[in-house]
Amino acid sequence: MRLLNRTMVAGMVAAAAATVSGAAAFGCTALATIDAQAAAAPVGTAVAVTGASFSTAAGASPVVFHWGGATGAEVARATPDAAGNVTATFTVPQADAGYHTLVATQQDAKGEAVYGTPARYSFQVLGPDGQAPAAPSAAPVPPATPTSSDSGGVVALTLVLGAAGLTLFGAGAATVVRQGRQAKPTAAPVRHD
Amino acid sequence: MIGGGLLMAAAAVRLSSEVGDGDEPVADSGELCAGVPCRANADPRPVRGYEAPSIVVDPADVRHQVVVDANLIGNRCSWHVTFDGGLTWEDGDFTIPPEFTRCEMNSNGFLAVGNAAMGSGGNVYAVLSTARVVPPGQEQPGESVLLVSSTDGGRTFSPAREILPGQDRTRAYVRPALSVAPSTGGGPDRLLVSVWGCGDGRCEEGWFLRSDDGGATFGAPVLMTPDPGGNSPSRPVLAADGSVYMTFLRRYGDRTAEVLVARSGDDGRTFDSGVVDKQNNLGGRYETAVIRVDPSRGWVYMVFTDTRDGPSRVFFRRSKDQGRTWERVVRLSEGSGRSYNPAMSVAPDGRIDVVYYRRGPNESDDVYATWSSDGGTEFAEAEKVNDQPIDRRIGYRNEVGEFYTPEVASTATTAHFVWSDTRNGTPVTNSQETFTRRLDRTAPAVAG
Repeated sequence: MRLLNRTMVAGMVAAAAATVSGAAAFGCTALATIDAQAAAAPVGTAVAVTGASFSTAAGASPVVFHWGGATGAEVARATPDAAGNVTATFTVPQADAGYHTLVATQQDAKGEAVYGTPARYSFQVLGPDGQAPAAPSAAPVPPATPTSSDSGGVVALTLVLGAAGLTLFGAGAATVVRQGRQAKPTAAPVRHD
Repeated sequence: MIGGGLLMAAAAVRLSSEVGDGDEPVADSGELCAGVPCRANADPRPVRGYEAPSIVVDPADVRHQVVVDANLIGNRCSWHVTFDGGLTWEDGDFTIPPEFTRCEMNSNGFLAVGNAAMGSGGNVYAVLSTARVVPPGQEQPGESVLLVSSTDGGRTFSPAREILPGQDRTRAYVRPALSVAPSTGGGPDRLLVSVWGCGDGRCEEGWFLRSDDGGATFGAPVLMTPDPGGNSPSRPVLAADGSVYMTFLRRYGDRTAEVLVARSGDDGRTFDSGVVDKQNNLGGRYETAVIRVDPSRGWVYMVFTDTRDGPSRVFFRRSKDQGRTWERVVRLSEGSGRSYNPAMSVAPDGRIDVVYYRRGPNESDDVYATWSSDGGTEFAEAEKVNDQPIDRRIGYRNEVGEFYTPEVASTATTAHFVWSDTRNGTPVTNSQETFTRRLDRTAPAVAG
């Protein structure tokens, strides 16, 4: 299916260039994806992984799973089935608790990365106690509501943040002045007749 | 830099004021996602792949925002909702029925996700296109259009439901776009959907369909691109007088393209269309000419790109007579890099917000915005919305193309922007995600 789609897309481009109307669609198919049976596990655990949309073209390499990046240590490899799916098992290597990147690579017959690869996955290594480390917050985190017992620390933090903020503010203001950037809408450069 | 300084200064002041007073908000979310852009998700995983974002904002409370995008990691269509102006987000993936494929790139190479739109009450809608699963060996059918909806402001969504079935390879529906006319009298919202029609590897049709019962049912699809066809149909818009407007393009082999405006005066049953402009590279490869209606003036606005001035620029045109005539073109973007992928939103009072990408050095993009408070007679000088260049060597530009716009949603006093950003990506994680920023629009855009 994957090869069929690519062939079809190539045809689209040629047709669009030769005809008056119509446009070719972007010539790509689904990106390769990988998934793990368990999204988190301690070091030493065997974890099943699956993948989809890998190349089945002649000469395509097996899919190789790397730990920590496309050039990281190989932890598993598998050959895609007729539909481009792969299954494999890897053992969580020695690593700090927290998120690590699992990467699946595949090369075509010319040794170049297959379209849509590498596929990536966030795998979370659990601590020895099976607990996940505190995850970094995605959104800016507000300061905790202070209590009477920690108000001294908050006051100190306030002073530090205030000083840093004022310093950065001053630097930013100087930059703005220096660059002469507009902070407000200016007179219009364009106008209807 | 100045944004960071302001943020830290604000945080310090807030902390000081809160000592001994735990009842006040612990942070001023007004600065978050305003002075500095912020992530529009709460995904803690380092590998992220969000693209094609859209945003809707609750006009009754601009802190309530819903972002919909594609997640290329795992081929999902996702939503993200905040009720505190971006301080915190809740995330989710739309539930696609098992008889459909995931939100993966479709047979014509486009991302599955469409856009979100907000209705009355807590209603939020979004569209996407994906194909039915077939047994191995069978030919993949063309993509269908699916609708998801939320009645709680985007905190939860119904499973996706097919509203326009795809057929065989001679008819696939991709790149759906949605507008909603919120109910004003307690009745159901009206939904307007456009979609590209592709067949046998060519995308030469624009289709329109409409629901007057909140998406429960849709009328038969209407082909709005007469012979010899056209593509890149815009998101439809509904004017106060009931007219439906859309644009579409006709691209020619000599790299010229026409932009046409189609208007329906009979609830979308039929469309009349006419050529407004023809230029080199109008609409780039797959861009749409964006059309919007000014609810306060009844005027119709359009933005698009072409290369009449050299590199691709963003241009604006307006019509004061329901699209019958269009005033002369106005260039909105400047600079050495090409400007592309414009989007536009119009506030209830007629303020026009335009956003687009501008290419910078080293395969980077910036997000620029301009606006007009006088119906497009004058525009403010374009301002950069992002605070650091977007490095497209990170992320998924090479895989999915540069065919997905930044977006903007306008309220009476604010403009809310979203775009795909790679600042948190590394060569290992390759992460790309939606960022958002709010700009206040309380002062008039035109000096004097």
